Amino acid sequence: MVSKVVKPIDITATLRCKVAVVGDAAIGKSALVSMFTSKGSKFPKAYTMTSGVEVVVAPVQIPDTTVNVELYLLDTAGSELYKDQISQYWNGVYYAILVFDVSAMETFEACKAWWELLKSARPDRERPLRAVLVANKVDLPPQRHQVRLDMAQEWAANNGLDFFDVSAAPPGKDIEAPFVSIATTFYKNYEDKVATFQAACQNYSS
Amino acid sequence: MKDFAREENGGLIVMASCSDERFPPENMLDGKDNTFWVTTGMFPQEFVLKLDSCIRVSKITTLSLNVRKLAVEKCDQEKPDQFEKVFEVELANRGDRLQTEVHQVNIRAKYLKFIILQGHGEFATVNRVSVVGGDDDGAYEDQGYGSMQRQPSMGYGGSAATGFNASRPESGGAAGGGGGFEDEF
Repeated sequence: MVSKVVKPIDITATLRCKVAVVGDAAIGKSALVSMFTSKGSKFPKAYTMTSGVEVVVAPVQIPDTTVNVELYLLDTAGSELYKDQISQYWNGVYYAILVFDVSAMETFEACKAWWELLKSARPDRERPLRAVLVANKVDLPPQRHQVRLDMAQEWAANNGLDFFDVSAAPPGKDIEAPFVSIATTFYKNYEDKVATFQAACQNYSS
Repeated sequence: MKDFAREENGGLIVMASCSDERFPPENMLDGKDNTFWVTTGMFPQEFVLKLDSCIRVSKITTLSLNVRKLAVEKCDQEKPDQFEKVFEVELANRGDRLQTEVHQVNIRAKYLKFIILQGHGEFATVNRVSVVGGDDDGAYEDQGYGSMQRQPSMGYGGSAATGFNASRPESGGAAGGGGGFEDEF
């Protein structure tokens, strides 16, 4: 793995967050994950279908902080073969990356179904599901685009998701953005919760 | 009564599964209820408390926020490589009020491992751990938490094994997911 030269900083906290990566089969979920975790050096040339769920740990440093978030990415099989049992593998997940292929309208429609499946699979329905929507393969020539990005963006906005258009194919485009976004969302939740804990404890002085 | 978990009495956290420098695990041993160690995402999370020496432990107390399932294990060896379960409990959510968990036990321990198996929500804190006992062969006085009698009435009494079994009727049932929280790793 190529390690980029980065300015060393002292990490003061490491947070951990489980994230389901979902979308229909063969739209490039695993390629996106691989390109992100290898910092752009590993794109799977030959397609291999993911079975069940593969777990990949991807560290993300939150910009302008000394906090690291380790994303436990549950790269989820998109194939219909696994759809019945798949939510069991998630085992309680409240963060997700929904991916579709801009050259196939049905994969965008499928994201809406994945969104509903994720929401219904939450053990605690009171806890919100946080997700980002990712349009992959935007490097394809415009005549092959079936999904209008503004339409996807609108659906994302209406459902409270951030939207990103990326290309996992080398050299890659904006691959990091969706991962940094979800990690930052988690970090903010943590900071909010910690502030709540501190406020709650203030009255207990002994 | 002497609290063997306190830093000045030789208590030391030798392992914690997560950390944020702002909320170090030592916060659990400083005797203050308003400082805490916080879990930083996903469960289970655990920490190991080392006592000054191997002692008889008669009472273990934890103060916490948002903890849903807590297990405590003990080790009476010099090297902490094998632990035995002492008890496991499910705690009610008390919102922004501290959860106080008091357990009468009768064990010998050099190390105590506290495992937070589940939280009420994404994160949980432990504000204080207190360990009472001594080598006076169990002839301890009862003080501190007035409502706890020497003969505990709450199901987790002198026998650690009994307390453990009684407090986890949900094991196995949770796998079916029927309304239970089969949450997190």
